[in-house]
Amino acid sequence: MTSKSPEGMEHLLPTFHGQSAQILAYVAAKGTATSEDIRKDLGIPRSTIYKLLSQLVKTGLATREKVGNVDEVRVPDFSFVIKNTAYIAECKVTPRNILAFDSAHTAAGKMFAERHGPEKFAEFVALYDRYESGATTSQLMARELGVTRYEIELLLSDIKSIAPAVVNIGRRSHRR
Amino acid sequence: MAGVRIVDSSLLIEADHRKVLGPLEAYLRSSVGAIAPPRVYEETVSEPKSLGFSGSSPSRIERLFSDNVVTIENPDYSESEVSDTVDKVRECIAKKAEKQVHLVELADLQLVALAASYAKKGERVELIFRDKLLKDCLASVLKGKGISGVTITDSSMLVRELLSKRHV
Repeated sequence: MTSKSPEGMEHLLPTFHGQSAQILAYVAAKGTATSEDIRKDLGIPRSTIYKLLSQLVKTGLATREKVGNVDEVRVPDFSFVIKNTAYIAECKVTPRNILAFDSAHTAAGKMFAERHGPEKFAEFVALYDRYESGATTSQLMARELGVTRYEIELLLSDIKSIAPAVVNIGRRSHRR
Repeated sequence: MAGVRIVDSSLLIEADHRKVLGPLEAYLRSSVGAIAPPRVYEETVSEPKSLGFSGSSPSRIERLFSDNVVTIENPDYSESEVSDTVDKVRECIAKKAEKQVHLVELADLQLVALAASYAKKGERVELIFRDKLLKDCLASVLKGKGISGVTITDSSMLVRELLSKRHV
């Protein structure tokens, strides 16, 4: 596992957002993927995929290896501690919870952070790993965080809308 | 053999949030009746309303109940098989989540009780929710008790299906 402190890593923050985050979460959930897999499942244009993958490989967040005629992409089990962004306090971001981290930019995420503060949002991101791996329920999450289930379901709904293919692959791979 | 759909808060909230409450209503009105335990109403309507959530989401969901698209039904725990199923699912969730049994709350278990009660009557049951942990526990307990006739539908997958049909 790669674990790095936030100092001097600010340039990585954009890769934890939007389509880069979707690619990281998708490849991590799938284990290995080709650009074509990413295009088909995430619906990202080919040219954007090449550009984003180049950036991810350059920063060490993904690796690319030629297998036969295709490049196989992998994502190492990284872990970055991110502090004090607009909607989130100190938070450990991994490929498994990166979509929960990115949901801070959604309507439900912003509303949650505004109501309960960035620390609580960071707690949600930390718990999300356990939820997706089937180690907790949305009710237990709500109880643990001291919020309503309605708010948790709104967040989960937004995460699923960010990249439904990633969530479904994640759930299948946990089942194995 | 009739049938019943039992819906969870996750389905109603996600369908409203992603603007497919209309298609969901049509889906739920088709073929078999849709029911939910009281806790689902509290989670989707009473609690968000009391907390003053902006927008009209709780009111839109409330209309599903007032128009009888979803009927609220109290689970009956008097049947020993129903209460035993609920206890086993509660223990399973608590064990896998590493929580004390009393922390496993009502709503999930109300869904389980309704499902077990209808399945025991020989009816086909479609249970619609999202939580993987509940799914794993319920599937294993039902199998262990030899209760058949319960199918589990992932609420997010259903919402996705409704979305894709809307876009056709």
